[in-house]
Amino acid sequence: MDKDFSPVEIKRSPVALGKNMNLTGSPRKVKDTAADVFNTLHKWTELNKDGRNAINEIANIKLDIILSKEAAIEENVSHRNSFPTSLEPLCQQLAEIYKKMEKCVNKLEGFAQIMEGLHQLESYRSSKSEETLSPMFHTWHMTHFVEATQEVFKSYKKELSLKKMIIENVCHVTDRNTMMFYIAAWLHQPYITDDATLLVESMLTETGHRGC
Amino acid sequence: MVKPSAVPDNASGPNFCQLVMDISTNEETKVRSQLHKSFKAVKNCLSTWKEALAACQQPLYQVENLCEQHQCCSDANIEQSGIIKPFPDIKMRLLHKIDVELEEQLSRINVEMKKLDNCCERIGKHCHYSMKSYQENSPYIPLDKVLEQTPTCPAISDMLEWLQQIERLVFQQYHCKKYLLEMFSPKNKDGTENLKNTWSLGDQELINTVEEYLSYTSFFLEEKIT
Repeated sequence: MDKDFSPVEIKRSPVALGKNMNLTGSPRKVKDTAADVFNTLHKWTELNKDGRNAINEIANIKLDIILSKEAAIEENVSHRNSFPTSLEPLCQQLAEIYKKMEKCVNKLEGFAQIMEGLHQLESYRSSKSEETLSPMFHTWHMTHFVEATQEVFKSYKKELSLKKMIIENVCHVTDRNTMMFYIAAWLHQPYITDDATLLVESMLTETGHRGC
Repeated sequence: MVKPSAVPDNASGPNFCQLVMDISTNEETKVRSQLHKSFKAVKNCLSTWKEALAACQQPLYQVENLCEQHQCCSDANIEQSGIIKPFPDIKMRLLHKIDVELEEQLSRINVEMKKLDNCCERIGKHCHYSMKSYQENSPYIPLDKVLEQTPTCPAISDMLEWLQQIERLVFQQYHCKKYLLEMFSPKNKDGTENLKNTWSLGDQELINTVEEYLSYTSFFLEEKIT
């Protein structure tokens, strides 16, 4: 009888250890990686703000030129140079911002790889001990963390390529609407979806960085 | 030497004239008391109204800015340049993001509109209460009492008129703003222009009028009416 109904041993969730207990192993690594993802995205936001200021200054210079050009065509006189020297430091600033953003995206790629590695490790462990994979913290399995970090990485990678296109072309704009288009595209970051933001927030809640 | 009578004239019971006077004073006090409450409410509503209007300024500026972005992004002939080939859906995504941001700003304005609505409703109710109180008690108040004013206390008739004028102005301003918001759409250029140009029209007139009437009633509001 005892043999038939022996107690089932369940792996304890790290959440049950309480806040004062230190995490170890995969949960520790997942929690730290989630924090790193958040910090990297925070850095990206700051860089985006700096870039917005630079791009606004470029826009002011270029719009001034576009307007004077239109007036010159109307009055049939020669117009000013389309590329004044004041654009150069701003372009350099944007290029530096781009490099830093690129580093952020590289880091995100690294975090996605870490999560993938942890997932493989956990799968290997479970296959060895023949037990099913249980949620890492509250509800998410390791696959959720992998998917979330990959989704975030993809969004930011696409956004980075858009930023590159904007930086390369913003000084060559010849009309107001296109200039406004570039400013809006920089500001609103169309490839960073609400889903990506939600995934990061969910990851922070899941790992216990944000209170439930 | 006339000896003051130790016993009052009405000791044997109030005479008819005295009774009528007492009733009319009592009814007049009721109306004045209601007017006192109503103008107090108007005073409170004015500060709420001003705060709500001030809080609308920032989101309105944002809405104006976002509409301009929306218009420019829609009109930008970016597809022809070939630069955005790797981003075929960029325009759609960008316009969606601008729309989301616009919705957010409009909901901030709607929160303030709710406060304006409350003020409008409150003033309307008080105007109704004051008019009702006057209508109920007017048969007992002589006309000269209704028209009587002192340097510190305006006439009942004047106060009722001011209250109605305030109610009308507040109602008009609130519904004008509500209509502008309902007509607004980033795709509709006229709606956007109207919102920008018409939103603040009449705001200062309303505030000046209410402040003027409140200054006329300032001593009256300090009185304690029992």
